[in-house]
Amino acid sequence: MKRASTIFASLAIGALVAAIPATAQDAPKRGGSIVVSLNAEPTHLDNQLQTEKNIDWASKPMNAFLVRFNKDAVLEGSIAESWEVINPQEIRMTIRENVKFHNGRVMTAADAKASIDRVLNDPQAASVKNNVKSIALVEVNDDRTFTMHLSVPDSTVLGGLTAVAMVPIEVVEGQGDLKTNPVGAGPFMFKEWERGSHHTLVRFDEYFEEGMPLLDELTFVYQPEYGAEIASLRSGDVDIILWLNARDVVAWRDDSPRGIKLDDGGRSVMALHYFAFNLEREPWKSNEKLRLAIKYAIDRDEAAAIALQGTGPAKVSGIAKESPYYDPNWEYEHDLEKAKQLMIEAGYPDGLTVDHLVPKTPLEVPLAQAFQQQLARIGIKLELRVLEVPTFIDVWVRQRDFSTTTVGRESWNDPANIVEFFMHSEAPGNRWGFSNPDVDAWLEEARATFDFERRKELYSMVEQYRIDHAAPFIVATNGTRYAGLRDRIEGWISQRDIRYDFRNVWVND
Amino acid sequence: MIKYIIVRLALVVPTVFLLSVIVFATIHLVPGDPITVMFGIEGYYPEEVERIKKFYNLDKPIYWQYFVWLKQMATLDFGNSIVRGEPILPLITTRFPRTIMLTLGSMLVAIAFSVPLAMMAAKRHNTVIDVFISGISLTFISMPTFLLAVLMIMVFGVYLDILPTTTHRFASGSTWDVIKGLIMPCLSAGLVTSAGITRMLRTELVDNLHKDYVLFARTKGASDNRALVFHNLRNAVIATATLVGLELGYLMSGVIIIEIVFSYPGMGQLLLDGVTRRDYPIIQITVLIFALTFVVINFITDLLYSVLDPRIRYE
Amino acid sequence: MGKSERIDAGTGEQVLEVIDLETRFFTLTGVINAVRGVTFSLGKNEILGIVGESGSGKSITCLSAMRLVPTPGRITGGKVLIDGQDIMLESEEDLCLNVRGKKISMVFQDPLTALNPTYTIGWQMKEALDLHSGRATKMDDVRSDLIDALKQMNMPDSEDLLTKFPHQLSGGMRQRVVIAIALLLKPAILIADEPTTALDVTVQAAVLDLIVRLRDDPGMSVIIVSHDLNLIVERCDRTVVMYGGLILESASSEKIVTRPRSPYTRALIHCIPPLTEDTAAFNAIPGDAVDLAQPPTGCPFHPRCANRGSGCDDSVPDLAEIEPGHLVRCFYPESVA
Repeated sequence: MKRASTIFASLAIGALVAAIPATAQDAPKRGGSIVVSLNAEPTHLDNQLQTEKNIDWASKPMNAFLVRFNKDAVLEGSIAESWEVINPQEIRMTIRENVKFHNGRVMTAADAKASIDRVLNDPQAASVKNNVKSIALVEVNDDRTFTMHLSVPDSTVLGGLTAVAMVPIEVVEGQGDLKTNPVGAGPFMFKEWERGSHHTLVRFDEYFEEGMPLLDELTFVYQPEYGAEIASLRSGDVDIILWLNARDVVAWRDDSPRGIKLDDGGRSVMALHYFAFNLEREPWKSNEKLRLAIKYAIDRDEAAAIALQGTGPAKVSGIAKESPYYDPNWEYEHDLEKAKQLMIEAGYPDGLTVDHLVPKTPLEVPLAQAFQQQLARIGIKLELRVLEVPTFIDVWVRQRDFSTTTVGRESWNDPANIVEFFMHSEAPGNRWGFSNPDVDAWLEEARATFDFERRKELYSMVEQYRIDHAAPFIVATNGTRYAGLRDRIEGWISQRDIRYDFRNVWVND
Repeated sequence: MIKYIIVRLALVVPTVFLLSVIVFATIHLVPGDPITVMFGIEGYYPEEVERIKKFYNLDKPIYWQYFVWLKQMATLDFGNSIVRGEPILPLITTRFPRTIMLTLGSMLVAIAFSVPLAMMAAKRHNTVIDVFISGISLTFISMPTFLLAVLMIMVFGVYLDILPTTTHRFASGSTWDVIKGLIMPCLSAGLVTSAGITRMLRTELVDNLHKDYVLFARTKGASDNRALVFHNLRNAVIATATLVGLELGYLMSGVIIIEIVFSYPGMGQLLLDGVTRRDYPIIQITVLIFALTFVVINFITDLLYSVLDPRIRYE
Repeated sequence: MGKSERIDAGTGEQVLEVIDLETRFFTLTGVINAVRGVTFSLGKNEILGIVGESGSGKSITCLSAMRLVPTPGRITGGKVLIDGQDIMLESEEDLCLNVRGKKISMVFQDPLTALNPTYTIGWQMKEALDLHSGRATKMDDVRSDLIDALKQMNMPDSEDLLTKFPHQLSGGMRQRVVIAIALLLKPAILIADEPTTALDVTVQAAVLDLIVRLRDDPGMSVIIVSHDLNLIVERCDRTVVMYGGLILESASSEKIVTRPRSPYTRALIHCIPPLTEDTAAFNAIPGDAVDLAQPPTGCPFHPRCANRGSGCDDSVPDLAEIEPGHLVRCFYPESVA
């Protein structure tokens, strides 16, 4: 069977490695237990049914996936030993023979089919399904081989499979779901879940990757108050907090508190925070000059400096410079004079007042305030409507009652997840009423082709269109997640896709 | 007296019913529903969202949903959490005792601090000691519980590092772990509460100092301290009991903040989580339980009042 | 005032002697001299009256005699001898156990406030016993004693009373209970501070009679404190008139009424509305009562005094014995009519 090396190339992302080297030449040691802080309790631990990142972080160590992105964001086999793209609508995959579920049963191709089918059919799995929805049928060939038949040619399916956890189907059928008593094939096994407080995982001795994991025990505690998370890290009650505030990152970069170190910042290569227009409403619908005026008035460097205090870069696209999909032609200069001229051409020489919807998050609020200052320079008065996140979601997503908004997204390694997700006329992330037949055609072709160069070209065209027409949004920056670690934690890898990996983490006491 | 108790108990039913209507209406009027909120962060999938809403009857009119819920409650079936997909009852039964423990523990701290302090201040009223105690009380009264809690964490949790800043050992540990986990939360809530009680009790005690029955007890041969405890305090407690009852109610709501700051796995966190996720069944039941507890506390305070004051008991 | 001004009743044994007593209140706004060197004695089986307006220091004098001055007050000088022993020298524990309630008792103006509203009559009576026996007795053991004590106060239905709370009794009954408690340990001295002021007129006489009878049975010495001169002179053997923390006159009650020598006493007598005449005709003493925080120099009464002369505002006159058993503090005493 031939390894489909073309797929590697097409999905590879030349991201920077972000591993913290072990301080001494100490060899990794087995044993020990660590505590990781989550800022909210996961609503359940069924990775397939995840609706928020928290569930993924809390349950991923218990799960194994057919394929995964390695630390360089290159797709590699995990449970899958090899795969072959027979044709653009048919992918055959062979799984390893020594993969066991936590209940002791050896995993077969039938489990892979059942796991994928569940994601496709259970409405609660909508978030995970979105990335593999083109799979029409999974056919089991033998114990270790199965074939995925796609409804349309789709190069993003393999990337999508990195999020489909493999589950023993008899357990799902027996207990209904895996929300409270998860069973997977991952490096850690479920031990207990004390609601509202913590859940604890223990090493799965029969995990299929030799010598992994290193830790005996992994406990996730829930601390909704950020100050409490910091206090716990400082006192050593917690070993890792996943997301530090920009303020602490700046303060700790030069002088971190005793016993604590920073990782080098897990910069998601597919993340963006942006200023968006509701294109179903005037003046945005027909007045392109006005949108362009805003585009040139927004100073991305200044906005990033204010909102992220220098911990994240200014950006022109959700596709970062580190990504092979990045195109330098997208770049443009902030130009206040041009913006003012465009305001006159747009028919608003005296400016106007604009409604601006903002979710109450530590990043979006200061970013929106930065936009407010900048747009005031061209006479646009941004009236901020800051709402609690659940209310924001309802107003923004369901009612679509907004004129403009500041919001953000972090995603996995394929451009489809941010470009197509937001800009295809039928996409779930298209909340702007943006619809352009050319863009739709380019996006569909990008999904259908397995040729990296062509995909890059197509996504570049879509992004160029978005930037030239300032529709549906203007990207300002991306968030950067820095984790805080106790000194004793070794083997930590800052992931490019914000999916944390505890297989190699060990304790250096 | 018995008639009074019966009337009070009978009033609980319409109170709770009315409250359930208000809660139900309010949470459904607030924008956002559990399913939209659940998927909204990562992507809105209208078809799936509608399918799940239908499954949970969230597409039905509010009054219809209310009556279904009422019917369910009538059979003491608390139902399932929408976003968690698990029964609510076990969530409540593990957390409610913890919140009660925290509330009563805080009140215990409050009383343990306020009674001796108030007595000390009253005995030495208008002296430096009295002014000092008043000053401390005033500081704690004007201090937000939140700030005190954070200070505690910084001092006892981080710098001295003698108490845990997380509660995972508390939730499934030994009795000693439970006590250690309770110290800071109870101190933070308790000290703030104690300030109010100290001030009121001190005022009552000072007022009583010159009451004839205190002096009379002294002329009978009672020592200063005995007169203070058996005669003065005994009467000062009657007026203060009302405040303690009120404070206990405030504490119940105040512990929501305490639970969040200390990551304490109680009802307050459950409620907050329910509100942010718009998990209707959880909000309804936690708010109702909070309200019922409030009603019960008030009721007990009233009863206690008549136990403490024979003038009320016999009228 | 440093000089000891001893008054002998002339009837023999003295059960209580107060000598040069000074009591001051140290408030945040200043020092108040409530009692400014008071000396008097109480003979065995004697009934002594102390009369004065509010603020005259009469009540504080009585409390000082039991060493029970409320904070921020303090006894700053003088002696109090009970049975010849100076209680200023005794320990607080000793006073509680052996003096207060046992040798000397006190009853108060308002019987409603003198009894603790939260305890039963029985509990409050038993407490008096327990405080001096140093242990908690059983109610069953002392019930008959308590009932006897109540019966002696002419209380009907005594057995039932023990389980009652003060608010369930009438004012007169409460005052009887208070007196019963005060007398429970058969003290030699009883101080009655305005014992009838808060009572209905109909029961006032009965309660006073009850107190006066104590002289004969069980044979006690009594101090009655009141603002009502009429009440005092009618019941007491001897009367002490106080004003501004000082004794202004002291004599047998008869002499006080018939031959008052202090202008203040005289003024007090003129205040008493004669029952036969129109009450509107009685003369109030002109001027305001003395302010103890800022007392006038010299004789405290001089600003209101009709006999005021030179020197009255300079120094305090001595308490002088102008005839045997009759003491007056005045530079210009009234002449004998």
